[in-house]
Amino acid sequence: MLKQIFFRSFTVFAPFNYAKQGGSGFCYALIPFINKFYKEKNEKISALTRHITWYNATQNVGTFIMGLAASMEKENSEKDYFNAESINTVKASLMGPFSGIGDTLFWGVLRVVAAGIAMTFGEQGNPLAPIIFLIIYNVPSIATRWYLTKLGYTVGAKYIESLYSSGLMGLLTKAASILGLIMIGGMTADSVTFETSLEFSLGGDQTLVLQDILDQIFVGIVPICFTLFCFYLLSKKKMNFALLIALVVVFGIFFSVIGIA
Amino acid sequence: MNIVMTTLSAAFLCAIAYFICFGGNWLIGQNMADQPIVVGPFVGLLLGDLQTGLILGASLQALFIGAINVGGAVSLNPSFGTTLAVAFSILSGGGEQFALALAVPLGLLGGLLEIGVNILCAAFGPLWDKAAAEGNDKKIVGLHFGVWLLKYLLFSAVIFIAIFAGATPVTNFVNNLPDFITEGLGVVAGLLPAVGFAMLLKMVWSGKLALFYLLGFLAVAYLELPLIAVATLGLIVAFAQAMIDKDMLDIKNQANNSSIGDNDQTDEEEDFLS
Repeated sequence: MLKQIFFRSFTVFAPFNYAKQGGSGFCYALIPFINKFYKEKNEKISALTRHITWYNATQNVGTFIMGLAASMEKENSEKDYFNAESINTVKASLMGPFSGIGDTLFWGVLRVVAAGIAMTFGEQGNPLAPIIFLIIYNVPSIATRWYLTKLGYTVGAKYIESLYSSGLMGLLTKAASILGLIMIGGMTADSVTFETSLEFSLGGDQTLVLQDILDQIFVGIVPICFTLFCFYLLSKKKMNFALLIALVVVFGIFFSVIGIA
Repeated sequence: MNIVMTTLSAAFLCAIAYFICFGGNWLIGQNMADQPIVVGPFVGLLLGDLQTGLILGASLQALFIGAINVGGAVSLNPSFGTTLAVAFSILSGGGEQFALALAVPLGLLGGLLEIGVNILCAAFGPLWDKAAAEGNDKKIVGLHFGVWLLKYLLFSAVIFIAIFAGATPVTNFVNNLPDFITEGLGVVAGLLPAVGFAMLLKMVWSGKLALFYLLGFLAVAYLELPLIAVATLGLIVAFAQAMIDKDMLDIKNQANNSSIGDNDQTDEEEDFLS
């Protein structure tokens, strides 16, 4: 039965739309449980209605919520005093925290590490690049998906609370952020390039090549400063991503035309 | 006639590639098949130029790395930009810089298209509610996959039309581009990944950990390590830090559990950890 949630959870965002987001996928994942626990038509209808509502959480950690919801549905079908509304309350309260951590770990760190390694192969024209990328990303991702499905069904929400309060969650996030930052730093140096072609004549044969001086100060000083400046604009000035891209295009061509680069 | 046939089959192949990568990504657990590093080589392979696809895919990956749709908020569609940029680049013979500069506006257009389709598909919301109210679980499942199919067929149709209609004008455009623009695009292509990395930094940045960003940068700028070595280095540093933190945490938790008289010590350790 848990395997059903695991396999069905892969499709959670398949028909993604602004009305339901992952709602239909959440319901789809729970249908085997609903059919098993609720033989009476009315009960089945209320369970389906509960889970067709709007849902969104990073999908490979969201299976915890699915497992938990399934275990609560089981309780609900067995015990009269169980408050069915608490199922959706718990779901709603877990989406935010799970997405926050899930997005950072999987989008911000794991995907970046996988992409960084694969890009090395891709730049050399090695056809293994996409395969390496998919393996590095998906093996931990699928393992997490399965592990959290089981965990959600068996241990419940209290476990997550204790994970937070004991400080283990903070520890994990910090370690992942370190890995992410080192990788992003490396990729900045690898992918962001800028070389100025400015030269000053010092009289006679001597010329002053600006790029050489910049390199003596700090290799890659312009790329790292430029990246941090973009970061500053995006985070502190809340600049729109698309606008920033447009500005970079305009300034890049402008620098080129006036002969700085 | 021959050119029309070539364009037609190229458009068809790209539509299929897009459907598999983008639609497949969302059908099978966001497996990242829609990332440029996968889409680029796939489109290249189908159009008979795997090498260009691989190299463009790697460059576009850097460009689109920050295009993350957190919580369903779409800004860019990397696979849309990649499919069209790689296809146009191969079909028109434009170079890498051309593809890189083209990919961003196309990615933005793709993002807009995605928002539009997501709004359009929201019309199916009430049908799901109705099916649930009827207790009809088969209908819920049918809609679940039906809307997926419809959605990604729609995207693929747009790709097909864009390539079929766009290949000739884009080729002419490339051939008539003034030199200063072409050179400028090279500068732009070098700078644009910075925006993507800035976007990622927004996610994982913390003032206390900023030095680790510099460490990664130094490892490549001065030590000239390949990225796979940087990833390993990062893993080791992260693991070492986690072990130190774990020890600290154990001490702290132990102190918390022991007698109340030890309060001073606990406070000290908390200060140290924070």
